[in-house]
Amino acid sequence: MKKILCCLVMVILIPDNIGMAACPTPAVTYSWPHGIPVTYSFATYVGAPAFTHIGASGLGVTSDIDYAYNLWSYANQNQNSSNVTFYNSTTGFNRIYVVSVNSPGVPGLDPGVAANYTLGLFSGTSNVAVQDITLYYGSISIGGLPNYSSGAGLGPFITKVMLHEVGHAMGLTDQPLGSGACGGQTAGQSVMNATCGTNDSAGNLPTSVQSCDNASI
Amino acid sequence: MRCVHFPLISSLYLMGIILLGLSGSAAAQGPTQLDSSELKANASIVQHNPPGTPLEAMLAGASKTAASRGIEWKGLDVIRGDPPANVMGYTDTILLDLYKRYSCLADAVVIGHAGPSVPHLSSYGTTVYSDYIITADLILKDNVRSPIKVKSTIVVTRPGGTLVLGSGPVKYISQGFPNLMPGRSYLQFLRYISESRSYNAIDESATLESREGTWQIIRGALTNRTVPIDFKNGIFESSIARWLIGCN
Repeated sequence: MKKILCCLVMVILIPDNIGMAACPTPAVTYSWPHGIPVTYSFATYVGAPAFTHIGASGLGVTSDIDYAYNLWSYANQNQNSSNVTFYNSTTGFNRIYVVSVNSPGVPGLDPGVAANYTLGLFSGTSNVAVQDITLYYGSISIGGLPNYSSGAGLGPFITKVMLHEVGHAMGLTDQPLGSGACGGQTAGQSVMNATCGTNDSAGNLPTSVQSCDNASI
Repeated sequence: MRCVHFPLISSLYLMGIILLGLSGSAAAQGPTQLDSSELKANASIVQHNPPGTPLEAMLAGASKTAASRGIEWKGLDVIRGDPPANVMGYTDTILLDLYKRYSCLADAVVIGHAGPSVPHLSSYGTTVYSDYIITADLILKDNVRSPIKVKSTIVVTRPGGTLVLGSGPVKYISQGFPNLMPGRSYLQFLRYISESRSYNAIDESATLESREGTWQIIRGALTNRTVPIDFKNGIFESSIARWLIGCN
């Protein structure tokens, strides 16, 4: 009996996010306002010579990016209460850039990550006004691993990366990192997991919005 | 229990570079005033011009959206994310190896405290960056092209800052390059920008802050990461001194 009680106490005391996998997914205080339509477009990169424009069509991943937005629209209409819907429009204010990294692996010239985002909040509010997303094709991680590989795995990986980046403007933040394989995260539990391996070969990122993610929106 | 004494060779090396810094040099070490026209060159560096929509265009579009949504227009708070790197194989060993590489790549490795800063818009308009006055308290690796004196000031430029542009105010927050707080002590692996005779951190991981006896990496993606014992104050500097000896 004592043993059973002891175990019960331990179950109550041990947090469910031990091992650095947080569910619900960690959230921030801002997001797209509920119920709004959000338009996005594919933009041409003009800027510093450290990068060269490829574009989503140039890399052949337009449909993979659209699919990620569609997955979020579906989740927002059916699995969480946000009702935010994403539309691809040539005049879309939220822009997607796809560039190649011209000096892979060089600190300061290679961001070292698969993608990044810039989002704008209306000052004094928690409402997202705009989000840009950039995919850094050819980038190499700090550990020396290429983030991307061409071939069959590229499209699904792009979708997973986009699910993650769009998740930031939906009010989610990165899952914490701990020790162990793939940052100690529970594989597939959240779109806010980190990528693990070239084209996420370890399958750390899920292929759709997860219940842990919806629970935070 | 781990020994925390500096290895003899590293200690001698550290003493050497401290004495070198104290003795100073006749060479000019760059602007020490934030209104120097030389510093305009900092607007063009890659770190201040990531891909994205120019902030002015972002503000113009967002002000129209604000009007259509009935939101009082006060400008934008722009956040640039700092995603975690590919985590496969991202171990403490990899992390230490990164700083070994930085030690050799850097033109200068400086421990210093932050002073005032002035914000500017970058050349392609995709970031607001700030030039900071940094007082060099300890020089772990000196810049051979423009030696730095201990207790003198240098200018370090990094993304982040607040400006008023044509379409409104913008507060630019780079999670990879958090603002340097006045008076706090930072260890920075710096690249020399010869056009402006100032410096920038090699990348997001190249700025560490001294907190409770340990050098903490201040980039957003690693905020909650526990650093290994090798990052303790003193031990880390000793490692840098040892790594510098091994640079080609």
